[in-house]
Amino acid sequence: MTPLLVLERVHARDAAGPHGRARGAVSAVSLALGPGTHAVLGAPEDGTLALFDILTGARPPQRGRVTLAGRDPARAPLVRARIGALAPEPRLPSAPTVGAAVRLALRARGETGAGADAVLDALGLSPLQARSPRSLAFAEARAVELALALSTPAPLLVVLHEPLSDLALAHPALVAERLRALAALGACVVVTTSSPADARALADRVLVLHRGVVARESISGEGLVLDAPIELTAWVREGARGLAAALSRRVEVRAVAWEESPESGWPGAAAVRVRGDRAEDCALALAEVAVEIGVEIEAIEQRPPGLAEVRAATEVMWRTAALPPRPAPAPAPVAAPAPVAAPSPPEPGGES
Amino acid sequence: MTDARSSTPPPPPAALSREALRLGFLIGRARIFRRPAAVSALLGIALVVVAGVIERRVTSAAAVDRTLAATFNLVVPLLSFGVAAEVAERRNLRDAVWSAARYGVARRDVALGLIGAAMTASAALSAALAVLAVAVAHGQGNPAVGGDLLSSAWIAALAAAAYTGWFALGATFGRRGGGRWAPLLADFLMGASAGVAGAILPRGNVASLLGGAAPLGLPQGTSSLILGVSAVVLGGLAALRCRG
Repeated sequence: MTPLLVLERVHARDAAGPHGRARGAVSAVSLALGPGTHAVLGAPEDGTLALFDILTGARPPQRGRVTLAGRDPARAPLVRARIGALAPEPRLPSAPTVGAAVRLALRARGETGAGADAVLDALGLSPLQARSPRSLAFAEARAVELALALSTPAPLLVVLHEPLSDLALAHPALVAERLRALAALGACVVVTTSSPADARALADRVLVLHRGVVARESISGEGLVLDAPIELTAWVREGARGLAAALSRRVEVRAVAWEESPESGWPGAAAVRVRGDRAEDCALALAEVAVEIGVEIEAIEQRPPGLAEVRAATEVMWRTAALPPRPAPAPAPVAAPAPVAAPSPPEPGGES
Repeated sequence: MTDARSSTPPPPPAALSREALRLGFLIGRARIFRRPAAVSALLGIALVVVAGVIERRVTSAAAVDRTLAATFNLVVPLLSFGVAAEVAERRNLRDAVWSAARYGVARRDVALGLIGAAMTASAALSAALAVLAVAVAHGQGNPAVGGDLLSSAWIAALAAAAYTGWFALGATFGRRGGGRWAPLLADFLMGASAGVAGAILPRGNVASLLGGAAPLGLPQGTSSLILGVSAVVLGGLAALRCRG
């Protein structure tokens, strides 16, 4: 399938640090993304914000080329009208009310302002309509931006930064549903996130951005971590210490710890954390021991691997040459390198 | 929901440009009506009234001239600076236009709209302050003030527009538009000179229009022209520097 979004050896940095300084950067990133849901997994320091800026056209890359449907989003306003974006820092057009800000955004996209109600209604944000944009909480402003992004007419690209965090939405599940619907209609959906769980939940293809380069990719988030021990947490009202002591004698369990009153989790229950190689074995050991010593387990949860585990796995792969070595200072492209095209002539409708 | 890849016919570029200008102006207006800009305007009014009352109490002779001098030397540049900074949200002007440009209008056109809003607001406020200065400082024994009011108002409007042009261009330099301080400092330090700096910067030309020394001996008509051309050219350059 012809890629919609093409990055050719792109070098860019963000301006998210104090006083507009860079917090992260990408180096020689080459990508070719077609319709579908893609997640870019990494921390801002790995360059996710820099990537977000160049994809949305907020700033041009320092070197290299970014094209969306063959045109540079930083220079072609008409292409930007077909990009839906949820930025890390919400910035609605200045207007007296949220409704007026949404109408301004719609008019900038070439639509009539009449659809503002529908845009906000779609995510249950109508109560915000009469509020001043400056009075909105961070999560509310992001929710309004998300509503605008998801309502982009005939979108070519939808770029969302952390679309499952810091959002004042009554039904967050709607987000994944809408993103899949947009992708099915032919849009290229890119989610930048530092949460492996969110990346897996939202995208079919996960690209790991590590130290400014696309280090590897995974389909449906499989294989993001390397044989890392799994961790289960069991919540019990009484007998946490005894349960932990009994579990420590089981061969399936590599490590065990307990905490009487953890800050988060099951209200009023103690947490027993168990580490092992396989989730099934650990869960079975937990159940058997609990029955054996008569401890009632309220709940068991498996902690999903975090970004730290993904990064550690990437480093290990680099060291063991499972991945192409990390070049310096201009790393080679890893994910689906795009052919380098000759410079294109000035674009009609480009920003003058 | 429409097919994402189907191409919707884009609006004609001329219509988009007009829309971008209009959006820029509306966004600029919304930013000006925020509290900091209102506080700046109120401070300006307070300064002008206090200066007028003090000057009239000291001596009614030339009280209007001295109050106007204080208004044009201090209040008009600072007010224009405040308005220009507020319109750009105290950022680089290129970043300040992004909240609208991201939705598909040209940065240059949004910037022109923003600068237009800033010039309109600072010119109107400065003209009102100049009128206020004349009205407050005018003593009972002074000649009729009708002519003073009119000429002070248009000089103030022209000066404010020129200052805003300078500050808009300055705001395109620096990560957070810190370049806007350069013309302000240059105007305070060198603007009153009778040389080239005085002829380029607004202060010298304003002084000439108020009946003071003319920079490079330029006639008053030329000073008016320089102020007007500064506003247009510098505002245009600022907008050009914002394009993609």
